[in-house]
Amino acid sequence: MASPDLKSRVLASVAAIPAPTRGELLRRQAWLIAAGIAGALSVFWMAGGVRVTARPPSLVAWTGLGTACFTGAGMWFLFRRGRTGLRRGWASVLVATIVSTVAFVLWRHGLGDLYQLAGPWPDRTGYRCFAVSVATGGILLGAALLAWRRVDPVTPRLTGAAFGAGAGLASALLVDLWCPVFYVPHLLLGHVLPIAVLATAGAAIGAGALGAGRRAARARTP
Amino acid sequence: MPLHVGRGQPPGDTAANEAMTRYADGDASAFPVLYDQVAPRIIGLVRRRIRDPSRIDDVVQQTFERIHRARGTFIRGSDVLSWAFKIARNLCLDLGAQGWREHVAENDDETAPLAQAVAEIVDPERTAIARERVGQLVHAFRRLPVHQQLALELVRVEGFTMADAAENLGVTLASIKMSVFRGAAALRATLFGDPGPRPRPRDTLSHLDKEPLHGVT
Repeated sequence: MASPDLKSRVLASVAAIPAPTRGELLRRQAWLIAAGIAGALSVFWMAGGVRVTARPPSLVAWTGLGTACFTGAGMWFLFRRGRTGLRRGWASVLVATIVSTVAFVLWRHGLGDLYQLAGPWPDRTGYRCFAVSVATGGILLGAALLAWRRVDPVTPRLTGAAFGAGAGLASALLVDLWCPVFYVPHLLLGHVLPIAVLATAGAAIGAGALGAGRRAARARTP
Repeated sequence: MPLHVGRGQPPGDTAANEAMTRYADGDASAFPVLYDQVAPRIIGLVRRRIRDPSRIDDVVQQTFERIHRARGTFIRGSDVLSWAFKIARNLCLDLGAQGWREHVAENDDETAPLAQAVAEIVDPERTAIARERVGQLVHAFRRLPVHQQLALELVRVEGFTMADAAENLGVTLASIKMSVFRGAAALRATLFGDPGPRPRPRDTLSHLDKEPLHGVT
């Protein structure tokens, strides 16, 4: 049975801690995510924006459309929560990331092959795509981590990984519009590796930034 | 204080969820209601893991503080109890208490008002036998792998559905069903030397795979 003493202690401590309501949090998140998207788009346009180069416009449109569908579906699976309001487990995040990534790589390579543009391209290893992906995705990830800071006491590491993977998928969509290369090793280094890097970074940073502090309980108890 | 409690109500308790929804929207008067609805269940969960009363209170307090800090993320229609259990379990884990602690029914304070009241109306011998049986059950429970303990606790003690328990533990439905089945079979084998799922009379504890673990909290 809960003691009245404990109840009064809890009520007093909660009254002393500022916490955003749902409306306040939604506003904060909307502003930060909008700023993150604007920042990522700025970096993308500074890097050159949409570059058609030697690609037929229809190829650009189809690859962009397909990648948008696959990354959109991937992000929906990454960010959805279950019936009880809890985020899905690690397996779900891993499967959503891998399936959507493999799908957009196959789609892009398959279309490039159809247009006979998927041959080896030795002088485009993929470092520039990697840099643009990490830069744009990093801004998005930073915005998401700021927007959700200190409000995920349940699975902060998992949420951070989901945010990282989502940011990576979103950056893959932008880079898809920028990059004319369809060669698989290039795609793996320049388009897929950033997703893994951002997801790992999201998990590492999210554990500290999103949670309420893992050592709080030990520090407070005598 | 003696350990008590029976099976909890299943998650999805509307009073608690409604209070949490109101609190997430900024209605401060909903928090005491939320506390009254959820605290006994949280205390039960924490007491199964931690013995020191001051630490139990600390964990309960921090659970509510974390719920308070994260109230803005609560989704309408979701289950606050499932959320609170996960927070409390994380806090227990931080203190190194993952599974159930050893049951200490034989060391219960005999001067406690509840213990005295029970002693006046129940045959002491039967009380002692019941305590011994519960002690055996908890001892057997603690020897189970942690994933089976967690699955049995949510499904058979707290009354979660298999699907909700799977979501709470972040595992698949098939996995939670297997954990509950194997955990119950292992308990039955330990307590009664019965390796199979053969049904036994209901006045024993052999129907653990079907019934809640009454009195174990």
